[in-house]
Amino acid sequence: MIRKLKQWRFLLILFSLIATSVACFLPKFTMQSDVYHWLVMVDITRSMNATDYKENNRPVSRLEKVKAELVEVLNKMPCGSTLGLGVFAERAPAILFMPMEVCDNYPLIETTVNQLDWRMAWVADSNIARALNNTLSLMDLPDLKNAKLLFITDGHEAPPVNPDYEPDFNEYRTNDEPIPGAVRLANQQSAAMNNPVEFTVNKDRRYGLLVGVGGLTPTRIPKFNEDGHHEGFYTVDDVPHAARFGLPKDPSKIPGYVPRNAEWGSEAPKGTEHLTFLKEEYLKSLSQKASMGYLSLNTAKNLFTAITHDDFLQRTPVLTWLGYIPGTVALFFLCLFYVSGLRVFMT
Amino acid sequence: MMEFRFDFLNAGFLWLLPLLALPLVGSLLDFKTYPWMRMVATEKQFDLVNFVFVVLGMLAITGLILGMAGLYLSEQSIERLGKGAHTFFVLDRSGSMNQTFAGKTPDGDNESKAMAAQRLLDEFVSQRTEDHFGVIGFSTQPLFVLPLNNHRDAISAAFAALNSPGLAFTNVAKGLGMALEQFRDQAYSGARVIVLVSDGAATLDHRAQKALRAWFKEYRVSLYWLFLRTENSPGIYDEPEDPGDDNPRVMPERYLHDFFNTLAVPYKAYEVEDPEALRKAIDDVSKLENRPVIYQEKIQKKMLDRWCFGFSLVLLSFLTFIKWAEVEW
Repeated sequence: MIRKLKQWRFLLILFSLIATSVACFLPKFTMQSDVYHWLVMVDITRSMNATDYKENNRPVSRLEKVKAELVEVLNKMPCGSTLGLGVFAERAPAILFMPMEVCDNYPLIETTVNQLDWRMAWVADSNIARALNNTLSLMDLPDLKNAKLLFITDGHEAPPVNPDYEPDFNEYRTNDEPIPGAVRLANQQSAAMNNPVEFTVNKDRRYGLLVGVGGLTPTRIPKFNEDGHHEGFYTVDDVPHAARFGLPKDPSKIPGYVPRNAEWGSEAPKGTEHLTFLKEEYLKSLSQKASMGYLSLNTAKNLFTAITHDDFLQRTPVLTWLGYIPGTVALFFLCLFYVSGLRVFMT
Repeated sequence: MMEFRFDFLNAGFLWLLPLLALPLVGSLLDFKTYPWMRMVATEKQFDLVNFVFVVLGMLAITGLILGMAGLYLSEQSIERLGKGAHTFFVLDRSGSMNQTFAGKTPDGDNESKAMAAQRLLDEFVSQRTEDHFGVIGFSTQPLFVLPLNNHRDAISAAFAALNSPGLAFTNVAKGLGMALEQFRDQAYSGARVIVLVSDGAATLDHRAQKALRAWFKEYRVSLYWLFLRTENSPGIYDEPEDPGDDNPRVMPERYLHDFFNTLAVPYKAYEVEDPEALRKAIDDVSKLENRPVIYQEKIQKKMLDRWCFGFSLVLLSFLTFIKWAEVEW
């Protein structure tokens, strides 16, 4: 027996045998795998119907653009990641479903994303800051504990809001952490893009990302009648152009101010609220207040890069199969064994 | 109907398959000079034994490589004929769903209507293994939530969303309309069911009534209404004390019920005043709605790598034994 063990060719096949039995009986190991958990909230108010995107030379509405981008992102998300979907109008978020696994449920999520429609909106107003505030307060729900918020909007508050009465998001900020200005996030992939777009995010983005959608030039908002037929566009007389809620800051500056009967002045304000464009500065400041990153929706690559940023990375234990490692060892020894059995080495 | 499909976790290892040739050229046994010809087997005997050794060696290597590549039988679904239903849940997302059955803000002891509905619907879905479910939400407008599917985790995720705050009002007609529309392009398989879960009703205008009536008939969908009745609120069967109150504005529930009764399809209403009653209603639905349905049974993906390694292990044990027993001096 001992003599046998001294024969190196025998040892080679014996090692191979041992490694094979290890491969055969190796238990599965728990490894960490990179996943992302997102709750996507989409603005479905009227201004999202503005067609300031283009696809194949065909004008595409903001909402259509968002849907297309979401499907792209959904395509690329690593398995094990989860995605929840909701819409918001006025100040209320409506979650359609809580985050669910993206690979198994891909066709379902895709169908629902494609069904997103402005007609789902139960009211026509949009009060974005409040909707954001209310959504953040939902992130404590057990189903959303791990999720980050992807809040997609064009920033068009309708009717205009009185900033004095807007939520301050103080509960979503920590005092010890000063909120720095916008910094540049990961340029790592922008070089590879033919159209490099830099996106800015705030350093503190604990709660997720605020995504701005829409062009920067004012665009008309389509108007639909009760049956959903397109019926021209909103005109200057259709919409309020200034906030009328609460008290004005400095009444003396308002023409026609009458303390009792006209605390907002006696003249109907004219403005451009019937046109819409991406209110970037507003959204940036909103995102800073809410400890979220800001990103302008430009390319899906950009959106995907942003939502898979390390800040949002979470690790989930996954049972991993490692049988190939002892298997390789076994094969290696077996090959050595046969190579050493070549006629040339034998004689 | 079942077909096997094999796949690999790390197909790259298959590039090692040419190593199969090694036992053909390398020998299991050592070459030795024998002192006496009679000790050596005849050429024929030797060829046969050697051939067996070579084949076993090649098989052992194949097993190792397939095991390393992670051979598995991929997940597959078999079509089966069962009994069940295609059910659309039309869920009320109005603000009042967040109150308890007593019309109060939920506390530790009393769950809200939405939470009760979530829990029991979950139970319902888990009991009906052969059914497909879809989810529509509605308040003032319908919200498309999930198409018909049999992913239990997805349906459960949709029910979980009931826990988020409700929205505006109760517009039953639009929710039902959207659910009915989903049956339009569906092949007729299994019972078609709409389960309306709401805590209130609304008046239907004549246009909505006409459309709903036509669609229910055309798509042959039976309707179950789980009315989560808040204590002391008007019920489905309540008769008004004052005949002047007998109109759809004051008693929308009663009028909606009357309208549903005139539909040309099976309809049942349940007044659910506490979670227990809701369970009874759900039991009823699962008893009544069973019709032949083609459903997909999923067969989990099955890893075969251990079998591959085990196969090699047996062969290698034999070869190792031969090597050990090899005559030597």
